[in-house]
Amino acid sequence: MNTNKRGNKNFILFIIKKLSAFVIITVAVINIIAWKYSKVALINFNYEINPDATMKIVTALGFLLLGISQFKIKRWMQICLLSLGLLLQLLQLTQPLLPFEIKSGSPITIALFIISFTELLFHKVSTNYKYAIILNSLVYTITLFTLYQFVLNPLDLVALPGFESISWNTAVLFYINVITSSKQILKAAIINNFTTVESAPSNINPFKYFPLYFEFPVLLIITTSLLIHFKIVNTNYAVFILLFLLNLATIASATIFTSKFIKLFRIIIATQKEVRYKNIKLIEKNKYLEDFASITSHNLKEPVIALNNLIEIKNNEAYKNKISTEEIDMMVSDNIKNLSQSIDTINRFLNAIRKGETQNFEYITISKAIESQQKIVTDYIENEIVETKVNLEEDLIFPKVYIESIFYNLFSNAYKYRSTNRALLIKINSSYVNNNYIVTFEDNGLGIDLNKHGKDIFKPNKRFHKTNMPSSGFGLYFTKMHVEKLDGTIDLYSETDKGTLITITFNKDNYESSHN
Amino acid sequence: MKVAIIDDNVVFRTLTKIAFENVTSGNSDILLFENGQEAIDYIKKYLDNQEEIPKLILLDLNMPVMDGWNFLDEMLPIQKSFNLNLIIYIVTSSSDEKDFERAESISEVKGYLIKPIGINQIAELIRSITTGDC
Repeated sequence: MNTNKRGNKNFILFIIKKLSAFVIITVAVINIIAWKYSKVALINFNYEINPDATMKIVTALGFLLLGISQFKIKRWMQICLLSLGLLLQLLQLTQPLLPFEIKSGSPITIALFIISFTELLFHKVSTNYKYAIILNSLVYTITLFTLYQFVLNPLDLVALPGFESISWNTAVLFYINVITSSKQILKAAIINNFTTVESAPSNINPFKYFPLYFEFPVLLIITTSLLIHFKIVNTNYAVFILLFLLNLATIASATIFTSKFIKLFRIIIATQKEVRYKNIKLIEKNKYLEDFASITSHNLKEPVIALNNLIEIKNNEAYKNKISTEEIDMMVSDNIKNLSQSIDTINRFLNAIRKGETQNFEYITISKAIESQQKIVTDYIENEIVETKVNLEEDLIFPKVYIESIFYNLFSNAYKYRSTNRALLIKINSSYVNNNYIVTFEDNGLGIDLNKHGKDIFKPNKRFHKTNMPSSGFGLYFTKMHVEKLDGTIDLYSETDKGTLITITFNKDNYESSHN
Repeated sequence: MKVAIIDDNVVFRTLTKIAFENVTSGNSDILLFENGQEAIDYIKKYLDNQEEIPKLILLDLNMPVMDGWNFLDEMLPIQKSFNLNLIIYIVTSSSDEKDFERAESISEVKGYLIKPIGINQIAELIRSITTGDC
């Protein structure tokens, strides 16, 4: 039952899709039969006005070929049918040279056929749709003109050179054919473009948005033709129906298409934005990985080389007595310490890069991060007085992993590189400036000579002070890394023996879009 | 001959020092610096007494406080204005192509040696430099 229903539905869909082909073939066949039984007058509209305006057999044959070529058959067969049709029309032009007589179509019919066949052949052999569409538009314009003239001013049309003997049936079939072939051409052009875009979501294929654009006019012209033919409506009304409904269809299609197109464009822009953002993040990550590789090789290499050299000294008679065993032992333990520190650094580096790769962030406020991180680093200071002034205009939330890492590094730097001449004072402020949320972290410590180290300040493996404190050379590097992961920027201002000011800037729009 | 070894690793400093003393049979004056800044400070101090300034410098690249590149940035203008005629060799564990190319672009850098360097290699280097110099 169900499959039967679906089968029926598919059949109806097939009929609608191939409606124009069926109509073209049927009308062509009816015309051929009418000629055979001399009933031409019966099936030609306005025959009483212009008895010449009938669809000739050769014209009907042309339409038959056009109709059949619309079905899903092999491309070479389509090309054969179209070529045959073109040949048939060209044959009529050589009429005077032929030994037998054919009742040719009107000059405009022959012209329209030649253009139509050429257009479709173009479409079949070339992927350049431009020419096919130009030819298609030409046929469309002439056909529509003929149709309107037929219903509005049949006598004027007869007076027009070339149009003397074109029939209503011919014009209608041309109209149906031109709409269907323009649909074919556009569809092929769109599908061709969309399949070349790999993994383009099928729902953004704009062709899906306007199927009615093509089917409705075909349906309309068939209905109107039948209404006129069986004299159900007067030609004047028919004109009204055609003009009004065709225009309505055009406007409706344009409206639907425009709105869908805007939607499509939005999707494209959003996708583009996302791709660009991901690309930036990828470049960033690549940079970190490159740093990681060079740091790993360097920091591991140094102590290993040193240990190797020490073994060499130990085994070398000439050097052995120049240096005491205690000294060698001391150097060995020194380098083993370096080695383990390097491995520690590498681990921290890897953790820093990977931090927050899971998408489920826990968010905490800046003040919470300040509070928790300051407690951790107090180990660096024994019984020294530290004053911390925190003044936050707004206490925003950030992903915990990053904001904690940032404040951990800032605090540990401030503690490690404090001046011995004065009590450490740390000021933390946050405020809105223009469209930015700015966090500043200021200390009155040793400071860094920016003339010397300015360009290296955020580079990995850099130490700017000699200190007994454990110093990895990565503090500011990690800070910058994690600020960048929050789409922020970081700057550092410093004066030797005065202090250091670090400003972290978050763009308000970036912040809002990443917190929604 | 006065020689400066600028390296943050104590092993390399010690090793090179011993090799020097061995090859020149104690006939060399060796200055040891842990980073570029210490060396710069020393050289600046003796600019009016050039006897005290080392002729040969073995320079490591990666060091805390002031690395090899920053040392060169600061040293080269001084060397030019005071005609110091320093012979600078870079001795580093960095096998990075970029570092090597950068060193090549500085005409004052006479050589680029990549660690590990064995004792014998150091001795060889010293011999070639000292004989070429005399």
